[in-house]
Amino acid sequence: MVRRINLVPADQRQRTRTDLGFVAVGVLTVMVLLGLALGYFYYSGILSEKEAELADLQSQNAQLAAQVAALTKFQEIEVQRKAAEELVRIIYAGRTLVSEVLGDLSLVVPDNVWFGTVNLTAGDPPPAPIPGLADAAAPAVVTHGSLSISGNTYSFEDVARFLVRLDQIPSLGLVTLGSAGDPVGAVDPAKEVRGFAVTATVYNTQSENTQLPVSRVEVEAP
Amino acid sequence: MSRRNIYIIVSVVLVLIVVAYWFLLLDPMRGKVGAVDAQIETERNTLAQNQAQLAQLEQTKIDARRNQGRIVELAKMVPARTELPSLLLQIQDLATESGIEFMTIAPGVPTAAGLYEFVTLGVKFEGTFFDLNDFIYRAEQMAAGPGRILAVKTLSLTPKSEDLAKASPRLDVTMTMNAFQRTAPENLVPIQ
Repeated sequence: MVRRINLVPADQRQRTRTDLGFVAVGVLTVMVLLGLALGYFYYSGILSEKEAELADLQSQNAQLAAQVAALTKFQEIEVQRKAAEELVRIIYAGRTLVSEVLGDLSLVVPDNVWFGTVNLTAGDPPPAPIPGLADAAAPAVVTHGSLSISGNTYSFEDVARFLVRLDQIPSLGLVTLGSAGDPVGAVDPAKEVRGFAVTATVYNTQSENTQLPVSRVEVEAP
Repeated sequence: MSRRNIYIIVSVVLVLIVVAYWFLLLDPMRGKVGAVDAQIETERNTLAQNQAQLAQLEQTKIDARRNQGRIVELAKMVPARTELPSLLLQIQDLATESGIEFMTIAPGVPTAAGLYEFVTLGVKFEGTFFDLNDFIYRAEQMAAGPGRILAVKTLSLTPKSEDLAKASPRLDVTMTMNAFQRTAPENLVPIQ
């Protein structure tokens, strides 16, 4: 086998040799630039996706906001209804039901007692505070009513019985005998008659949470 | 130029390119992605709130006619104005149904109590205790009609002298009743 001989003169041999250092630097430069480009495109893609998602969400929100705005008038009706209901409930529950007081009174009056005069004053419903004013949060002032009865019967025992019975009426309290003895008004002089004058406090027995009468509104299905 | 210098210059240029790329391009882009992420989160929250509000409003739309009807009902109980003519008719109806034949009614002026006002009606009539109780019961229950809310304020009963011997004498009844109305917006003043 013939031996290979390099015929290039020794001083010129170096020019034909591959410079690996330059190649390495070139490859490294290309890889770095490629990496940078990849990184840029990667983040650019993510940003585009997210911006598209954001635009989609903003569009959905804009549509919903328009729908909400169109329906707000119905909410205002509901707010009006609730405010009106609360106002009416304050008045309705704040009344003293005088018919109940008189009904109970008619049940407890003994047969041998008859009235000369009956005067009753009922408490007022609490005022409805105006929202937003300083006194709006203050507790409502509850006023009580009063009842005064003057009448006649035949004995002090009957007067006492009448007082005890008055005490049984839930809407009456602080039953007080003002006087007992002299007859009230014109009476049969042949009979022994005892007059009396009684006073009591009249309470509203309705609960604060008393509900309004059931609504009679009927709505046909659309 | 020696190879060593060329390597150093290339390396320095590369480093400069990487640093410039990071600070001028990539980092701002990452910041923008983060900002868009935050905006997306905000928009998602808004979307959820809007969807919930929309669902609630859809229900109020369904209830709207019922609510309007209820407002009309409530306005019959506590109207915006005194509406004296209809009030007189309603009281006259109550009296007739209770067996009371003759009645005098004297309306007063509205008195404010915050969001509502009350008008005092002076009422005088003759009748038995049971006529009276029936009349008051009907007046107090008129709201269920639905009708005006009425409340008896004062009541004074005196038996007629010629009926004293009777089991159920006729009474001279003097009473005041309160009818309620909403306070007009221009008259809203704080409660003293």
